[in-house]
Amino acid sequence: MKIDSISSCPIEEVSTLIGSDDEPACVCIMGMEGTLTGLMVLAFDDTSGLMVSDLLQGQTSGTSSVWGEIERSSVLETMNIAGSAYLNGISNELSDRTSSTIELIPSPPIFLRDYAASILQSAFLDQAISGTQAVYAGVSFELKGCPLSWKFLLIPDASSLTKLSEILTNMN
Amino acid sequence: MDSPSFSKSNRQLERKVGIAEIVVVRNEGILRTLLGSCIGIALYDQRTRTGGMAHIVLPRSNGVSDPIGKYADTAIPELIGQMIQLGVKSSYISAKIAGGANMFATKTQRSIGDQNLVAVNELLQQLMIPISGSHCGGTQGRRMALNVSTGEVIVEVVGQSPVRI
Repeated sequence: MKIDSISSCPIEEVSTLIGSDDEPACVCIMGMEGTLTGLMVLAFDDTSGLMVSDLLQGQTSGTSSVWGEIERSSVLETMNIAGSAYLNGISNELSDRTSSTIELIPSPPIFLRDYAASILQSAFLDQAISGTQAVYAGVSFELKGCPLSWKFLLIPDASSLTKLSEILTNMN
Repeated sequence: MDSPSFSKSNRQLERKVGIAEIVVVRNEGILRTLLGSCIGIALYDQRTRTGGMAHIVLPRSNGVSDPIGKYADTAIPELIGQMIQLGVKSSYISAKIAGGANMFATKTQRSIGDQNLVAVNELLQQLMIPISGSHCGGTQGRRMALNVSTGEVIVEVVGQSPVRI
């Protein structure tokens, strides 16, 4: 898991960041609280998500075909682990390099299966209130050297963008 | 009963209405938008078969109107203005609205979705434009499509049958 890029685009263009805008996407969403606030979005298609669920349940890949309670719980747990590890990593790095305490606390994740555009409009709503640009960090995943078709976005709130800029300016 | 949908020939004339965008067309075509907490407003004049759609993100511009379609208080007058330029009389316009969901169940989202809905309702009332259909609120996104040939509006929600409003 590594940060690919920190990017920006006009708010009007966020709809396609996790794939085709009018196709249903599966996402796990987790809040970020503490020194910086915002959202983390883990997006994947049905096949990839259900494969992870099978893997966690020790089942043959392709066994799960619908999003039941166990399947949702499996991907939520994956998000919990990935999101928490990601925030810990950022928190430790920023704390070390600014010689201050940067505390980032994850909130319990939620699962949604909805239009990608609808999800992203809502995820970037706080930034849309304050300006015209969307700012986000993109993360890629690999499993034993093979890229996974997951999309992970960190979307800071508008107030945290200013704070983040100050933190980055003060980094060693 | 079959779920409502538009024919394949109409789909060839589809025009996507993006975030904060305003589109007005005449005679034929499908205007389509995807909504979360935003509000989609479809205005229609049956006499001239002129339809317009705006994708509104926030309720008030507070003096900032760029892009003009982002805010209810700037988008709706602009949408009506563009229809009038095509020969529509404002007294013949009716409205259908969708969106305003609370996707992530946070206080901010609920507040914005609700505020969008209130702002759109108030503005349409002030402008004496009747609302003939509405599909708003809840926790799921929506795909809204206006058939300009007929004025018909179909709203789709993932996992549910499409509905005509």
